[in-house]
Amino acid sequence: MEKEKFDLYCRFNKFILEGEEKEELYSLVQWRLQQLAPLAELDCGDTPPMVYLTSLRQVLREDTVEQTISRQEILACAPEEQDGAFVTPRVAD
Amino acid sequence: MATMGFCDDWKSGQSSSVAWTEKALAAAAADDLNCLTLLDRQRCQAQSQEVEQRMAGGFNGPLVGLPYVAEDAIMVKGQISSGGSRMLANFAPPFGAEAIRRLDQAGLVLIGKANMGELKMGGEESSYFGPVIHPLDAARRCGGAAAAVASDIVPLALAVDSLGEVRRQSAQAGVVCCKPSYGTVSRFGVIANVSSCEQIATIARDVKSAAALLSLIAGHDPKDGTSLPQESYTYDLQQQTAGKKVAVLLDYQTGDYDRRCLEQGVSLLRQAGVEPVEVKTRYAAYAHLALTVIAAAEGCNNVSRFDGVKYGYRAPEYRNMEELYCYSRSQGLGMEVKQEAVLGVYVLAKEQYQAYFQKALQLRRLLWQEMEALFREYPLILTPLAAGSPYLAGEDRGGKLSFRDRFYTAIPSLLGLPAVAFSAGEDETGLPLPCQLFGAQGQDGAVFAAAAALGK
Amino acid sequence: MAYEVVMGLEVHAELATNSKIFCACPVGYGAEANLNVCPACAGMPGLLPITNKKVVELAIAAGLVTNCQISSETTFDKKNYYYPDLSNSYQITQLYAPICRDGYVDIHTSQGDKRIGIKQIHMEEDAGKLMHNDMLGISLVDYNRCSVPLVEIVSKPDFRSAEEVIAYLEKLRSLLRFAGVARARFEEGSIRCDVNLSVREKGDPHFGVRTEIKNMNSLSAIERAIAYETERHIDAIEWGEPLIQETRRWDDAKNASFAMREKENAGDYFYFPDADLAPIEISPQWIQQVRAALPEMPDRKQERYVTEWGIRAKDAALLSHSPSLARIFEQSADLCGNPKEAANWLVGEGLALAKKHGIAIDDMALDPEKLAYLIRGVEDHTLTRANGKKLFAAIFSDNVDPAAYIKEHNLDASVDQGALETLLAAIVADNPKSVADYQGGKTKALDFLFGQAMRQLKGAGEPGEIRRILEKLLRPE
Ligand SMILES: [Zn+2]
Repeated sequence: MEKEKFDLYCRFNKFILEGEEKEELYSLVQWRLQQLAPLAELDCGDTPPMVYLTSLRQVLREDTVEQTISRQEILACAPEEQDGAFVTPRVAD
Repeated sequence: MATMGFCDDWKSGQSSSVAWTEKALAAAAADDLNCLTLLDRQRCQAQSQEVEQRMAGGFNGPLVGLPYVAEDAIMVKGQISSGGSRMLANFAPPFGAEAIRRLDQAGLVLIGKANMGELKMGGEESSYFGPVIHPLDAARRCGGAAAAVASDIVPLALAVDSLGEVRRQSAQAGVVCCKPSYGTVSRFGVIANVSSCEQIATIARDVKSAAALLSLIAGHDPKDGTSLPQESYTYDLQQQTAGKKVAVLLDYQTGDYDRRCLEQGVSLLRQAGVEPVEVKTRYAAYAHLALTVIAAAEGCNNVSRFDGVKYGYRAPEYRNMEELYCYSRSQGLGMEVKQEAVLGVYVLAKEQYQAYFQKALQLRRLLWQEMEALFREYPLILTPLAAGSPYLAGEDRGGKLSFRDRFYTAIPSLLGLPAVAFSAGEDETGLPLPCQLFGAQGQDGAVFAAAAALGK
Repeated sequence: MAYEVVMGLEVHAELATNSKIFCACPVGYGAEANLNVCPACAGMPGLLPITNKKVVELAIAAGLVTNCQISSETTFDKKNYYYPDLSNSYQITQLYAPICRDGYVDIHTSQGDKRIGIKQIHMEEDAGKLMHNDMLGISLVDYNRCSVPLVEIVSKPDFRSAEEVIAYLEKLRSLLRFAGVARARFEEGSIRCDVNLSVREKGDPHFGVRTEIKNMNSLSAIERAIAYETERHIDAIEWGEPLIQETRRWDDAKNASFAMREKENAGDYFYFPDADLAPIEISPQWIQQVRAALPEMPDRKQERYVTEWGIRAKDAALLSHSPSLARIFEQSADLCGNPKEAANWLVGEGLALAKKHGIAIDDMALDPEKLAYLIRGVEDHTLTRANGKKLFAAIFSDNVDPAAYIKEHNLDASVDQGALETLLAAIVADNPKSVADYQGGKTKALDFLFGQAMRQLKGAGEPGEIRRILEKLLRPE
């Protein structure tokens, strides 16, 4: 993985790293990608992908409202709360 | 009749839940392995007293009143559920896991939470609360749940079998781990890593106890859309194993250690009247690579919700939203989680999707087809579980060794197959040689019975 | 140089369900912050999505009314990006196997009829809302809207004018509302539209550089945004300035579009299938059930109003446009047995009053029984047309009881036949000159007598009847 791409993917993940820590992460990811090379090079033809491990279908619920946990309980976990809302720095539009 | 009971050695003659709980609490307080991240004296004392009352009223069952620990990824209402991460070190969720609810109902006593690799994504060195010292060799590492059972703090534990590390750690600590087929145990209230294939597994000294514990948490849960419709499970460990064909996968004979594990496993099989047959596969050697790709993608996605906005760690200083995100996540998540997350984005990005993520899903199907064919002839498969002894202190930093050993644990994880991990013997230093048996989806009982037949 | 603008639309409509798409929280407009929230839609770990069956059925219905193919199997995918209103940092949507594909909507504009292609319809969850406080330099995050079910209806790039876009949106809204799929109100954000726009020289087979305009919250804003953006593209082409493919935000107050901050993921959302959500199979039987439960659609209504009830085509189009108006019309027509009259009152009086009071047609609440009562009254001459209008206005704005209103305001036109004849005979007797004039051939004299009668009757009595009696009285023996 090129450094540029690495930087981009760190940024997407909202990781800011510097110096040694950044180098360590880069080399770990590089090492892991080397290990993955045999898979990337394998020819699987047009085998359909397998996403689901069960044959479950139609897992649906009826359109009924149910609320068992209160707003207070959810907001109790928030780092910062105001007027029943979570608070962040002013977000750019 | 003592041999007919459950966890009799651990109970050591005591017969009340309060006494068992006090014993576990005392052992936990004296724990010098760093097995536990949290000990909830109040909850478990109240629980044991309540269980005593229920027992006095005639309530009973094989594991009633026994204490257990749950890995920290399994959430408990109102209790810190950190998943071994700084990110969640202050997170007390307003709801708890279905598995915990079922064990509450079944009258088991939750002592506390077991230490674990960070968010199931990191290896033995990655917990924010420090690594777990191996119960059999203080220079080595283990997982918290396996170590808690192996060091007799508790007779039973729940742990999330995400990439199979729980199986490896249990077998290498000399205890047994039963992993069910995907969809057997509700994942509701479990901090997710590899959503498409992980399951809660049970750990005990013997298969009988681990399987009994599993049957208490197994069964349909409408809150988990991947939960199978079967309402309840019982595992018949008396069913015939002798005469069955067991495939020994040659793919896993790569060095001295795994060869010795297999030899021990094979000799156990022979003693039990089972003839092992050596089989070479086409795709087994790719399983851990496919699992790694899928785990990185799903893990990356599952930890993206940890952003410092709603709960969990928020960096003390930031000047804007972007900094709040970046500092909170950079400080709150460890190196190995970051590694998985960057890898996850890599394998999902448009440019690499076909070569990595799509390929991993295709390989999953190819392996599934190959295993299905294999199971028609051999209902059970034996493999070793590690390339070497439990990791020395510091050795797994960066997760390279736990990645290496994923090679052995991957197939049951990737395909959602039932598996049982155990020690097949000892090396010259007395450390267990880890093996596993696994079978086709839904054959959980047959797999566990086979391990029981091996004396596990 | 002649230019052609090419547009495609992405319309998001909130589905009319009670609960959210993947959790059981209520769906509601205007609730207090985070009241309609649970751990799942607040982005906590350990929760698993379970799809609301009604969402699937409404999405099928949306596909049926837009003539789409309904997929036999449909699945969900995750779309990853960070934004504080997205509690999980991913949105569950459909990329690989959307629920509907390949449909169309027929529209009518001043240029005639046109068919707009639908590329696909997919189900997805909505994001929450941010409220900014510039004074404190903070944003408040409200997840009430998080996981509210949406369908995204993606058109083909078939639009060539703003008029077509508006006609399509009107038509689509009406279809979704009739089918009970969505409330589809721009003002509350329950329907939203992004426009993909490019400009090319007329006749050029290739598309120009495409920009996407977001954040338009009314039909008129969409019209203005299209005009602005088209102009911007043409200017750039003529001046040889480069256009870049980007997403732009429409600022209605400034009447201009602005480039949105470039997302750092460079347009990649790292989509992948959501293994927590099992595939949904949609059988022909299920589709048939949904189809059978669909009410009559506006096109069919319009046709039926004209052919079966003899309503003027223009009125039929107006009456069939809105589900609530169509319901009022059909029910009052049934009750009074005179569809033409019901149509006249609703189109003539109803729409005029709605316009005068600034009430949206969808919000017109008229009791069909009261309207039917009014129509019957006019028919049997107990109510004059003029007084009918007064009554209509009172029903319209105050939902008055017609019988009580008529009594209170002395609007009853029924006069005892004997009394009427006596009164008219007296008028004839009092005006011998007019009688002579009339009988002498000056038929206009009748009008004078009629005027006298009307003045004395103060609105009571049916004018035709009065005229008839007067003529009879004036006929020489
Ligand atoms: Zn919710």
